[in-house]
Amino acid sequence: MQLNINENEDKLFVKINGQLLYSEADHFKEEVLPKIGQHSTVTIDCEHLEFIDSAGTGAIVRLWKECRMVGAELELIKVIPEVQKLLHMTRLHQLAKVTGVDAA
Amino acid sequence: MSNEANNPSNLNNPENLQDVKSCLEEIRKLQNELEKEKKSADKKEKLMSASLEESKQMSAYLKQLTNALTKERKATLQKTEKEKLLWKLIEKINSSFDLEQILQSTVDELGYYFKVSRCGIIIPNYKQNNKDLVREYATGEWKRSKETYSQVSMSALYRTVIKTLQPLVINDSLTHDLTAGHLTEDLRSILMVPLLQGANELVGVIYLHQCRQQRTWTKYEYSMLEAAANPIATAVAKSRIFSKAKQWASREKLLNRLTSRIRGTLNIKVILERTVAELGQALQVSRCFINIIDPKTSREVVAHEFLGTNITSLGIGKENPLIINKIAEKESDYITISDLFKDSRMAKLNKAELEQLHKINARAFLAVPINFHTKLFGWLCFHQCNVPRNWTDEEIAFIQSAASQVAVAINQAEMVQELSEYKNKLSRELKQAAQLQSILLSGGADTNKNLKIAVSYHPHHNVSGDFYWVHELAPHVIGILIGDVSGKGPAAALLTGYIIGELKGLIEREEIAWHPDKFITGLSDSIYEQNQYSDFYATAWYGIFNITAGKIVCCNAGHPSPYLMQKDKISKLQDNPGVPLGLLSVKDVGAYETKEFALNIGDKMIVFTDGLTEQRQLKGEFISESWLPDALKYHQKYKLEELPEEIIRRLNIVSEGAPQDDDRLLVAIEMPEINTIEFRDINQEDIQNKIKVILDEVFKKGLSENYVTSLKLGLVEAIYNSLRHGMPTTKQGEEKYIKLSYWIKEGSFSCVIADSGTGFDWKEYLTKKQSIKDVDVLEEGGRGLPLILEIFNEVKWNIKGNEIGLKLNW
Repeated sequence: MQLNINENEDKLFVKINGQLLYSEADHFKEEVLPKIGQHSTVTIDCEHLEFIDSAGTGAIVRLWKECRMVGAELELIKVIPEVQKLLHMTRLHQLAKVTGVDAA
Repeated sequence: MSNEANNPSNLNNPENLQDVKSCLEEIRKLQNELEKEKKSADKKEKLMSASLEESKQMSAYLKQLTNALTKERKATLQKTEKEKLLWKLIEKINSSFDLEQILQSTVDELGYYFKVSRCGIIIPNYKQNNKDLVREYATGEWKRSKETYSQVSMSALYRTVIKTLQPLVINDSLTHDLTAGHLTEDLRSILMVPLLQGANELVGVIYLHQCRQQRTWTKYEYSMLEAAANPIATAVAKSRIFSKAKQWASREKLLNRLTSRIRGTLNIKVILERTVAELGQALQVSRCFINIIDPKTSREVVAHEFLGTNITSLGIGKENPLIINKIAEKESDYITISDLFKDSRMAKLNKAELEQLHKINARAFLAVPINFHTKLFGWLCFHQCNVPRNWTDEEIAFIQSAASQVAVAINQAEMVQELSEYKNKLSRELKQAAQLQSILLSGGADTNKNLKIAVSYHPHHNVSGDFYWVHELAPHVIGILIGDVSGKGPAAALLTGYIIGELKGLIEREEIAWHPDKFITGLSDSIYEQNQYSDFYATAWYGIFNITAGKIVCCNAGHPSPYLMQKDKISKLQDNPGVPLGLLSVKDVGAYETKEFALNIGDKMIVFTDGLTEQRQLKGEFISESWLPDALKYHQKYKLEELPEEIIRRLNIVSEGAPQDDDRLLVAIEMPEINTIEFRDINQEDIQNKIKVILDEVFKKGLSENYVTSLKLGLVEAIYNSLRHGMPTTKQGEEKYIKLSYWIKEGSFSCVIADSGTGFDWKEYLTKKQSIKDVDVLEEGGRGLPLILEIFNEVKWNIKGNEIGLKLNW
């Protein structure tokens, strides 16, 4: 997994490349969580997120919780259908705003 | 001497004076001799005349004798002629059974012989309608028409003879008391002799007529005709017996034909149809019909009908109460009416009933009941329309025989119908039972498992006492139960049903299902409890095949031990069979024993019921015990799916095609090749790559892309689960690993993931398991197992909890 993090005023952009699995979840948290608190929106660009497992989902939940604490909004954009399906299974779409790759 | 006396030279010789003397002497001698001769001649003459007299007498005697002889010869000749005639008659009589022909030739013969104007024979009441049989011989102008001479029996002469049974001799009809002034024609002399059978049984009359010229019948002629009467009477009697026999034979023949025709079918309708047709024709009646009595309503209906020409139908299917019943004596065997117009019993019928009878034109009536034992099926009825008819005893007896045949046939047909209805019902029920059983057994009949399984199942009846049950404890752990309930057919099937119910319950309980001994004990106990009310039992073999571990654990309850086919070796599994299920309490005989055997890839096992070994040959001998291992050896190279049916085919050969004695069930199992991936250290990339290889393979087998993502998630979750929670618990000093074995089939993917850890209490987890939907969305962990349970159709752990079996169907 590769992360590409950009900050623009009060917006945080995180671009994930590859898979967000158990083995990558800690790395993801370590990289992203410290940045929370300075932005009103946190956008995860999932265009190149190929796959996510329960641990990856857990990491997103953790991120959402952090965002909620600081009043920031979390959104997952350009989610490919396969990943969307997985997010739906874990009902993550109930927490964060999830938009598909087509909607972008 | 006479020559010397006649010689003169002897007298002229003086010298022969002496000689004169001697001559004289000679003369004297001669004289004496002459005298003697004279005397002798006289004597001869006397003799001659005597003999002449004698010959005269002889001649007279001879003449007398010749006369006597001639007389005798004449008498003999006459006698011979009489005998000759009689022989001729007898010969004619013997040469034929046709009385009319015999009589004609007899009258011809006698007429010619007696040189009479007419010769005739009258046989009274001979013909069917009691008409007389008359045959007459006549010469030239004395020939009469048949109509005329047939009236002979009306004559006073005839009546006299049959009354007195004495011959009637009329030498001159002009002067005879009986005929004087009565005869119109020129009939002068009549000789009429009765034909008697035995002392005084009149058979007929034979007569001779001499026309125009008077004829005095000689004693000889009279005796001659009397002598001829005997063989004629015999011929008539013989012919009567013969025609009776012929009649009986033809009736018997008809009865036989009728019997065979009505017995040729079991269809009552056809039986009745054939009966009326045959009898109607045979008896030449106007109408022959059968009234069938409905056993429920007692109503009589015309079932079938035969009609002569121009006879109106009574109407098949029409209600037709047998009015005539009213006039019958109670308990009478039949009802006959020769002439409805003259029968006094008709008074018993009311006007409407009489009208009914008149309407159908019936004049004579005959009805015979069709009954079998005490059961009255109906009436076999005959109508003679328009004319009266005397029903003869023979006809009645014949119809009674026919009716009893019909009754037997109806009874038989009814019985067969009942039997066939019963049989149909039974077979329907058995079919339903078989369907039900097959539905019951189908729960365990799916052999599409990761273990290779092939089955041959040949129930002896619709329903069977043999059964098998294949149950997947985990994708790599397959339990197979094979059983045989004592007895066959429905009772055995019921117990099978009971056992299936019980085993389904036991299979659900992992703590029992995974342990063959506990499983068999559980089944046995449950049957034993039921068995207090019956004496059924069952043999069973239960084996649990673990594909990844390459082993089988099994338990045998009185069942034939399976055979193992390993490379070139065929061996009986040493599984130490215990007592059959339900026969004894486990408390009494002790627990069953689980046996474990290692199995390699390609090893085959043949589990079967005793229908394969306890089979008889055609001669009744049991087939040898070694036939099965021999057959297995012979079929070693066969593919597993072909093996069971090949073995059964072989069994049919070994048993010489003898009929199947019992249910036959054979389950063949083969340890399959497996794809196994082993992870010894945690190399993310390696794991990802191997998962990718699997997914590509599954995708190729038809899993849709959508499902591929789910499967990937499932596999990732399961592997990481072992990685995170299983492997770290590996006991110190033991090698850490994760093994993934998987099988891809048409429509399913299954795998087992085992780790070196100590396992976990999955049962406890399952009691409080959550669906992925129920997991708190704010939870950061705890989604792994719910996701696995969500994604896979089947999720099974081993008892220890360090092995998870997963199956995804599509």
